[in-house]
Amino acid sequence: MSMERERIDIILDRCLDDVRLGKKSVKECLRAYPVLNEEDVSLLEVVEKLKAGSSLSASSEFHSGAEIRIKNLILSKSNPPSNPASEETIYERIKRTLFGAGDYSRGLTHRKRFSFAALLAVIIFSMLLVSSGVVIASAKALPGDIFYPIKLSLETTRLSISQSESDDGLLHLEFASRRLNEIDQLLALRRTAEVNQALNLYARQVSASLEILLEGKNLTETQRVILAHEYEKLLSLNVDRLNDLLTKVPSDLQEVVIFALAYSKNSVLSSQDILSRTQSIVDKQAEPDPVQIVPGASQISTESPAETAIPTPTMQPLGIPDNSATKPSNFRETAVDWWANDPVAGLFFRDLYWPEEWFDDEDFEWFENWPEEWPKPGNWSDLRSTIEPTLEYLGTKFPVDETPDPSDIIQTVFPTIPPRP
Amino acid sequence: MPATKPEEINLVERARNGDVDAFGVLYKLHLDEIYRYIFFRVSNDRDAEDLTEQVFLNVWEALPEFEYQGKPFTSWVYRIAHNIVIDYYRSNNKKPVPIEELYSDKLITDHPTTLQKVIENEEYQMLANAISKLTDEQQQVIILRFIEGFSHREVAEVLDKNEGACRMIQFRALKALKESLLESRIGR
Repeated sequence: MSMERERIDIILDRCLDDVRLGKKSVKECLRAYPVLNEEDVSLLEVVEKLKAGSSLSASSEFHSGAEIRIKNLILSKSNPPSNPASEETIYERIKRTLFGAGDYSRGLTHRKRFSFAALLAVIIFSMLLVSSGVVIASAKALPGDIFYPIKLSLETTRLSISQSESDDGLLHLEFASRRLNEIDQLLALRRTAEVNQALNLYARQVSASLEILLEGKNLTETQRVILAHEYEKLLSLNVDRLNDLLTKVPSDLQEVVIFALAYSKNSVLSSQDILSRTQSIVDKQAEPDPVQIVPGASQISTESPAETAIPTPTMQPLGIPDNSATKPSNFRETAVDWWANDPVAGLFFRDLYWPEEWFDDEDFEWFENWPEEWPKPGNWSDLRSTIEPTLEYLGTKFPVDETPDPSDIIQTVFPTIPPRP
Repeated sequence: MPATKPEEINLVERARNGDVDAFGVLYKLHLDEIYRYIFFRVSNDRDAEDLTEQVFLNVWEALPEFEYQGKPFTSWVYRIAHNIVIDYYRSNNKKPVPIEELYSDKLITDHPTTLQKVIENEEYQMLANAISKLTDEQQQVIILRFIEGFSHREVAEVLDKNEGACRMIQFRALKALKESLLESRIGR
C-alpha cells in the first residue's frame, strides 16, 4: 500500500467515525477531504445505512417478562426434574411448568448434612456470635443491613441442625413469615429498594418448604399430611398478606409480589391436594400439633393415593361465572374481579370462557389499557408471560396437533363451573 | 461501548455469587445490544430472540469463571454470543433466509403497524441479509463498529486481535457489504 493511500485510509477512517457518530454527513466529509475518491464515498454511504441498524431493538413481546423468563430458565436448568414425564404428580408438573423446577431452594434443601465436626464448628461459631451480641443485633436486621447476612446464616444453621425433614419444612415457613414481617418494616421505613430482596428470599423459603412437602424422602405419610395442614394454614395467611402488600408496594415491585403470591398459592394448592387425597388421616389429626411430628410414625401410613385428581384453580373465581347466552352488562367489571382475585383464573375466563364475539374492539382496547382505577395486579404483558407456562401445561393435556374446544379446556381446569355460554 | 460502570461491576459480582436478580438486571441492561448483534447475523427475529436468551443462559453458566482482566463485561458476552451464532449455523446447517421469504410472512401476520414501521423492518431485514453474506469476522466488525458504535480498540478486545488487523477487516468488510447491499437491491 502506498504512503498516500495509507494517509487517505486514515482520513477515511476518521470520516467513517464522523458519519457513524452523525458529526458529518457524507457530503460534508467529501467537502472537507476532497482527496476521498468515489469508492471511499460509497463506503461512507454504507456506514450511513448501517446507522439505521443501531435503533433496532427486540420486540415488545420479547421484552415483556424477559427478566422473569430468564430467571425461570436459570432456575429450571440448575435443577432439572429427574424424570418429568413419568414420575411427577400433577402438582409437581404445575410447579415445573409454572415456576421451572422451583430451584429457589437450591442450597437450602439440597445442602449436604453436616458432618459431626462441621456441626460442632457451627455450634461453636454460633456460640461465639451469641456471646458477642451479634445475634441480638442481627435478629432485628432487615435486608440491606450490615447484620442481615448473619441473620440469614443463623437460619441456615438452624436448618442444618434440625432433626427431621418436617422440622425443616416448618422452619422454612417460619423464615418465610419473617421475610414478610421484614417487608412490613421496610415499607414502614420507606426502604422499598430492599423489598425486592426480601420477596425473593420469601419465595425461596416457600419453594424449599414445598419441595420438602412434595419430595421429602424421609417423610412418613402422616408427617406429610400434618405438614400439608400446617402449610395450608400458614400459607393461606401469607396469601392474604401478599394480596394486601400488592396494594401497598410501588408498581415496579408488583411483579415480584405477584411472583411470591403465585408461589404461595401453588403451595396452598399442593397442600390441599395432599389433604384431599388422605382425608381419613386428616380427620384423625383434626388439630395437628407440630410436636407430634416424630420420626418413625410411618406405622399409620396409608395406601398409596389414587390417581391424582384434575387440578382445581388456586382460587375459585368470585362467584359462578355468568353463562347466559347474552353478554353480561357487567362484563368488564366481572373480568376485573376475577383477575384481581386470581390472575390465572382471570386469564382463563377472559380468554376462554366467554365467547370471542362478546369482545368488541373497545373491549379489547379496554383490557389492553387497564384503567388506573381498577385493581392492577401487574403489567398486563408481564403477567401474561407469567401465565404462559400454565397454558403450556394445558398443552400437555391436549394433543398438540388438535385445537381443543375452549369448553373442554375450561372444564378441565374448572370442572365445577357451568358450561360455557 | 461505554466503559464498565461501577454499578455494573457490582451486578456482575453479585451474579457471579449466584444472585439471579442481579443477573436479571444485567440481562435487561444488555438484552437489546446482544439481540441486535445476533439479529444482524442470523437475519431472523424469532431465532435472534431465542439465541439472545441462550446467550444469557450460557453467560450465567460461565459466570463463575469470568474475571475482569481490563476488558469490559460486555466484550465477554459478545464472544459468547459469537460462539452461539457459530453453533447455530453449524448445528442447523442454516443459511441466511431470503428476505422475501421472511418479510412477506411478516407483513401478513404482524399486528397492524404503521407504514413507517414496515419500512424500518424492511431496512433492518435488508441490512441483516447483506451482513450475513460477509465472512464471520467481517460480520462482527461491521456490527460492533457501525451498529453498536465500538471503537477500534473495543472491537479488537472482542475479537482478540490487534487494532490494525481490525481496521483492515473493517475496510474489506465495508467493501463486501457495499456489494452485498447492491445485490440485495438488484435481487428484489
